[in-house]
Amino acid sequence: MTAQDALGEFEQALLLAIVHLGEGAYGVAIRQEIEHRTGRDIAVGALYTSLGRLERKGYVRATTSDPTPDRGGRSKRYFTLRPSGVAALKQARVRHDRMWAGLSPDLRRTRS
Amino acid sequence: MNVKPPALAKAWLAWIVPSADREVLLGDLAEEFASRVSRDGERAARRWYWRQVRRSTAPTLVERLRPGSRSSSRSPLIGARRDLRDAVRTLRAAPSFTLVAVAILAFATGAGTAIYSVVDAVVFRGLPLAHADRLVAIEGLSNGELSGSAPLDFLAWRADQTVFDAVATSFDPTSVARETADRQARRLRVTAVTADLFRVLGVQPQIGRVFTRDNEIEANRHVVLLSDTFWREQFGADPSVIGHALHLEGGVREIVGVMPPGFTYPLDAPPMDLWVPMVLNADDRSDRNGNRLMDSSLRVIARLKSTVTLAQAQSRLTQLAAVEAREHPEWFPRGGTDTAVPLKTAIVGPVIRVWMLVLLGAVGCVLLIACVNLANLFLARATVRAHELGIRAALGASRWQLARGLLVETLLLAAIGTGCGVVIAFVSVNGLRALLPPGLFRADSIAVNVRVLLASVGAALTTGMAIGVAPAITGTRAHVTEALREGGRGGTSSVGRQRLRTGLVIAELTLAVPLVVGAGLFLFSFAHLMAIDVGVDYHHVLALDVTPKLTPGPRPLRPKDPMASLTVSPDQARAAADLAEMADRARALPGVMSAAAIDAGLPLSGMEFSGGFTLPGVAEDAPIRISHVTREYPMTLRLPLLRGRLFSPAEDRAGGAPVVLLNVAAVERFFQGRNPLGAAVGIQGGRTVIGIVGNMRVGGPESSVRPEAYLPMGSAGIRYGYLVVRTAERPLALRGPLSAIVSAVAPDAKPGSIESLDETFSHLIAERRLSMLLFALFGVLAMAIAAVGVYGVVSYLVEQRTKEIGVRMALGATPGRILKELLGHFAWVLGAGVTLGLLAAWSLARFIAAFLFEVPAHAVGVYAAVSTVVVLSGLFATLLPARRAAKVDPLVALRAE
Repeated sequence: MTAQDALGEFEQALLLAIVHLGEGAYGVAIRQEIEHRTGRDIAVGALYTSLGRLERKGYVRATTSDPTPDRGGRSKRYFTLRPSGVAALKQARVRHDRMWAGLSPDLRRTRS
Repeated sequence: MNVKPPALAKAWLAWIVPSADREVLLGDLAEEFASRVSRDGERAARRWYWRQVRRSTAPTLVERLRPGSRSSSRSPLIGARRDLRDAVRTLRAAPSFTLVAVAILAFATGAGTAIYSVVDAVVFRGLPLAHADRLVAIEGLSNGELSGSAPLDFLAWRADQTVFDAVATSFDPTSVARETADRQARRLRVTAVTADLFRVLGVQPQIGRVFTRDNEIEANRHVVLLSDTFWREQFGADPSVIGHALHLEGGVREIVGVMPPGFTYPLDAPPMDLWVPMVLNADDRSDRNGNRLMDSSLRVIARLKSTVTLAQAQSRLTQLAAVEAREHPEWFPRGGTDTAVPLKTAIVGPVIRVWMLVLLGAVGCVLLIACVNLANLFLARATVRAHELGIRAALGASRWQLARGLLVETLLLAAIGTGCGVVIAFVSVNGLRALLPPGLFRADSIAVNVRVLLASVGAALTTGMAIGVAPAITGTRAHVTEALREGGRGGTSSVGRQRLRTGLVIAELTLAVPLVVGAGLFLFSFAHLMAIDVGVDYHHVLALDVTPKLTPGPRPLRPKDPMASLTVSPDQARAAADLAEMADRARALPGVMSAAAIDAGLPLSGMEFSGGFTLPGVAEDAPIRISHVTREYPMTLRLPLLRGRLFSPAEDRAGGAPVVLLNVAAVERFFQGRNPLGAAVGIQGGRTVIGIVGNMRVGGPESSVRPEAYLPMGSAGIRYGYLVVRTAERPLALRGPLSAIVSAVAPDAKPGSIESLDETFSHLIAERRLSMLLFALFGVLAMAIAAVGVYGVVSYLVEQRTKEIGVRMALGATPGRILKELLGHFAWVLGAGVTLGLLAAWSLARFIAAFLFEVPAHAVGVYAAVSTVVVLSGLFATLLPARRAAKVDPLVALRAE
C-alpha cells in the first residue's frame, strides 16, 4: 500500500463507524454514529462522495435495500467492510500507533 | 404529521447529486428530517435541511468535476459541458454551414442595430424640449421653394395672439471673435434671437435672466447669454459672471445669464457659444420707398396654445396673409403662403425622413433575406441530421438528450453570431457617422443604441432557440426507422421539404431583386452626377473667406437708370484693392500656381448675387448672376475663355474702361446668334462685352446653369470677398502663409473659413455618395445571400439524386444532358423569383424617386440590367453543384447503393 492510498481521518471515521454499526450501517446511522462519537455534524454530500470513493477503492461494499415507506418510499444503501478495507484500517492504526509510540497523551517523551 | 422538506433545497440537491446517489441521499435526508421535525420542530428541521444542502454542495460538485470520477458522465452539469464540446465539434465538422450562419447572424444584429441607431437618433427620437409636440416652425413658401420669413410677417404673427403662446425668430448662426491678445483663439458661434425664443422653447437660464423685448432695440442690445460649455471653459463656472462685460469684436456686451447644460439653438446647428438679442429696426419692416422688405431670411418658431391644433394655426396664418395681401397688393408680386409645420419635421425635413426610412426598409429587407436563408440552411441541415439523430435514438439516446444537444448547438451558433454582430454594430455606427451628410440633425449624438442592440441580440438568441427547437421536436420524434430510411436514400417524404425550400429560395430572390434594383438606380444616379462638368477645375484650389470690414452705412440703392453706374463707397473700393493686393502677394508664395479674387459666386459655394442685365431692344433689367473678379480669376479656376479676350491690367483698375465677360448661357439667352463681342450692355452701368467664358454651376453639379456676368473687381467695390489660390500640391499646407498675408494686408478684415474646394465638393455630394454606397452594399449582400440560398438548395438536390444520376449515366445519359436537366429545373425557380422581385421593385421605386438624380425610378434599362445580373448569378449558383452531379462516376454512385 502506497502513501497515497493511506486513509484520511474522515475516511477512517467512516470505516470505523461502519464497523461499529455492523448490520445497520446506512447513511443516517453512519452520520449519527460519527456525530455521536466525535461531535462532528457531517454533510450528506460529503458522506456519499467519500463513501463512493471508498467503494471504488474496494474498501467497502454497498448494497441497496428495498424502498421503505418511512423515507418517502426511498431505498437505503447499506455499507459493509471488505477485507481490503479491514486491512487499510489496521494499517492506519499501526501507523498511527507508531507515531504515538514514546509519547504520553499530553505529548511528553517517555523514552528517547 | 406530514411535513415535507424544503422543496427548493431538495430540487437543487437532486440536480447536483449524481443520479446513482440521488435516491439514497434524499432518502437519508427525508428520514432524518422527519425525526428532527418531531424532535426539534419544523423550523429547526428546515434550517438543518438547508444547512445540509448548503454544505453538501461544494463536496458534491468538486467530486463530480474531478476527471475520472465515476459519476461525472451522468451529471447534467458535466452534460452541459459535454453538450457544448459536442456542439463545437459538430459545428467545426460543417465549416461552411457554420460560417454562413454566423455571418448572417452577425450581419443581422450588427447592420440592423447600426442603421436603426442612426435612424432612431435622427428621426424617431423626440426633441429634448418640454411639450415639443406643440412647437411649430413657420415656413414661407415663395415660387414653390421653401424660404425664411420676412420681418413684417414675423411681427404680424407675434402681435396676433389667437393661436400661439409665443412666437420667436432668429438669424442664421454666425461667428464672432473675442477681443483678446490671442489671435489663435477659436471664433465663437453666436445666434441672434428674439426675446421670446426662450418662452417658445420653455427653457430657463440656470443663472441670471434671458432677454426681454426691451433688448430688441438698438440702444439696449448689448447683452449676451452664455452657453453652459462656454461658461465652464472660459469662466470656470463662476456664478459671479452675471453683469460682467464680454469684449467681442463689434462691441462690449453685458453677460445677463447662462443657459442650462445641453441647451442649444438652432437645434440643427453645431452647439452655440453665445446668444445675442436680435434687433428689429423699424426700418427693417419696409424700405425707404415704403415697399415691403422681401428679405426673407428669418427662421420663425412658435409654441401653439394648448387648445389649438396645427390645422387651426394654419388657417389663422392663411387668414393673416390674406388680410395683408388685400391691404398691400404690391407686396405680393408673385404670391406666397406660410406653412406651420411641427418643429421636428422642419428640422429633419420630410426628405431626410423618407430617406432614413428607405434605409431602414432596405436593411429590413436584407435582414429578412438573411433570416429566410438561415431557415433554409437549418432546414437542409435538419434533413441531414435526421439520419444521425435516428441512429442516436436507435442506440438509446432519450429525446431530451437529442433536443438538448441541438439546442446547445443553435445557441452556440447564435452566441458567436451575435457576438460578432455587436462588434459590427459599433464599427459600422462609427463608419456611418463619418459618411453621413454634414449638418445632419443630431449627427453628433448618433451612437450605438444599447437598447436596440440588446433587443436584436435577444431576438437573435430567441430565434436561434426557436430554430434549434424545431428540428429537435420533429427530428427527435421517435420515428427512428423512418428517419433511418429517409436518410439512407432519397425517400418520398422529403418532397414536401424540398418544395418548402424551393419556395424559400423564390422568396429570397423576390426580396433581393428590389434591393439590387435600388443599388442600380443609385449607382446610375451617382454616375450621372459625377459626369456633370461643374464648369471649372476645382481640384487643388483653396478658397479663403476674406470679408472686409466696412463702416455701416446705407445700403446702396439700385439706380433707376440701368445704364448709370453704381456708386461705390470708398470702403468698398479699398476692400477690392486689398483683395487684389492679397492675390498678388499670394502668387509669390512657393507652391502657388496662380491666385485671384472673387466677391460672390465662388464655385460650389451656392452663394450668388443677382443683378439686372439690359440690352436695348432685347432685355430690360433681366436677372443675371454678377461676380466681380480680378483678371487672373478665369485662369486660376480654369474657366475656359471661348471667344474674345480677358480683362487687361488697365481695365482691372479703378477708373478703367467698363467691360464685361459673359458666359455661354447669357449669350444664348440674350444674343440669339448675334455677335456679342463689342456689344454695349447695361450691367451696373454701361459696359462693353469683351469675351465669352464657359458656364459654371455655382451650387455644384446639381445646380442649374444661369446667365452670368464677370466684372473687373478693380474698378468696382466689394462687400464680400474670397481669395482663391491654385496650388501645386496639397492645398491645405498653404493655410498658414495665406492667413499671414490676409492679416498683413488688411489687419481688421474678418479672418473667415479656409477650405479646399475638393472638400467642399465632397461635402456637396456626400448624401448621394452615401445613398449609393449603402444601397450598393445592401444589393451585393442581398444578392450574395440569395445566391448562397440557391446554391444550397441545388447542391442538396444533387446530393439526394446522386444515385439516380449514377444509374442514368450508367444507362447512357451524357453529363451534358444531366446538366441541362438540372439547370432547366432551376430556371423556373429563378424566373419566378426575378419576376416577382421586379414587380415588387417597380412598385417600391417611387419611394426612392426623390433621391435619384436625373434617373427615372422606372428606368427600364436598370431593371433589365439587374434582371440579367440576378439571373446570371442564380445560374452560376446552380451550375457549381450541377456540374458536380454531371461528373458523378456511375461506379461510385452504384456502389453506394
